[in-house]
Amino acid sequence: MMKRLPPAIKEKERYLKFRVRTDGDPGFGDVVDAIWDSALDYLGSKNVSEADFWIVKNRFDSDEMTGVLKVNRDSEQDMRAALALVDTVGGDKGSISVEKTSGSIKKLD
Amino acid sequence: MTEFYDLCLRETSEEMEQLAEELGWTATNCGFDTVFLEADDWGELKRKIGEARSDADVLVFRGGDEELNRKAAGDSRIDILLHPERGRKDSGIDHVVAEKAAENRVAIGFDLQRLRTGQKKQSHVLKHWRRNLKLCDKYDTPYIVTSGARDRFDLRAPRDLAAVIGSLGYKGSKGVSKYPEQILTRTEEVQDDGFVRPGVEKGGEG
Repeated sequence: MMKRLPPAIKEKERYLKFRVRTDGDPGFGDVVDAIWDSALDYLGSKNVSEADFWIVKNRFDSDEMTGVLKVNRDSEQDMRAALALVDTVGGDKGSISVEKTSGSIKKLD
Repeated sequence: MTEFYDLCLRETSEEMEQLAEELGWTATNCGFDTVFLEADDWGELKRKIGEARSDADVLVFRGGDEELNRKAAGDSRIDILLHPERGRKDSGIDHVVAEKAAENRVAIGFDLQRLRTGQKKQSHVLKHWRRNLKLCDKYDTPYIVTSGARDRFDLRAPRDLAAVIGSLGYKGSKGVSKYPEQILTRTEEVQDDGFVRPGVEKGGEG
C-alpha cells in the first residue's frame, strides 16, 4: 500500500465543479470523452500529464449535468481553458462551464 | 466584486441575456448595441464608420485584411479590431499596428469562435494569439476576449474565457473586465454630453 507523501512534496490539488450544457442526453462516459479530447488536443500528453486531472465518477449528477474534476493546482488555468474549448458532448453541441472551485471536494456541495 | 463584460456576442436574444447573466457576466451586448463593420476597402469602411458611430454603443471592425487592420487601428472611432488574424497566415498585426491601436484606444479582439477546429487548426490560431498578446503587452494595447457566441452553446463563463488567454501566459482577466469596461465607460461619456472627440474634455463655457 503506497504511503501518503509528506506535505511539502505532496501535489496540491484543486477541485472544479463544472456544469455541462447541451440539448442532448450525454452519459458520464460522453462527458469524460469530451473533456479528455479537448485537454489532449489543447494541452497535449505532456501538459495533461502535469495537470494529472481526474473526473470524479460518484460526483457526477446526470440530472443536473454537473460534476467534479480534480486537477493539480498549478494546472487549474490550463484545465479551465481546455474546458472552455469543448464544443461538443456526445455528438451534440454542448459547452462546459466551471461554477465553483475549492481546495477540498466537500466545499463544492 | 469584479465585473465582467462580453461586448461581441453575435446572438443577443433574451435567452442569451439570461444565460449570460447565469454564467456570471455583468453585462453583454444583449443589453446595448454593438455594431460589426466589414468592408472591401478603406473608402467603404470610412463611410460605414461615419454612418454607424453616433448610434452604436460599441463599434467593432471585423479584421483580416492587412491594410484595413492597419487603417482601423489608426481610427479612434473604432472600439475593437476583432480577429485581425482571420484568414491569414500571419497574426494580422505588427508592432506598428499595435502601437497605433494603443494610441487610438482601439482594442484587439480575441474571438473564441476562431478556435473552433475545422476553420483553421487550433494551434495556428493560438500561435497568432500569442504573438498579438505579446504585442499588446509590449505596447500597452487594450484587448478584449469574446466568446463571439452565435447560440447558447457558444457562450462561456468569464473566468473560463479569461483562462484561455491566461494559459498562454497573459492577463486574461483584463480582456473580460478592465478593457471592455473602459470601452463602455467611454461610450457613456460620449453619449452623455454630446459628441466629444477622444482626448478632449468638454469644458464649461467657451
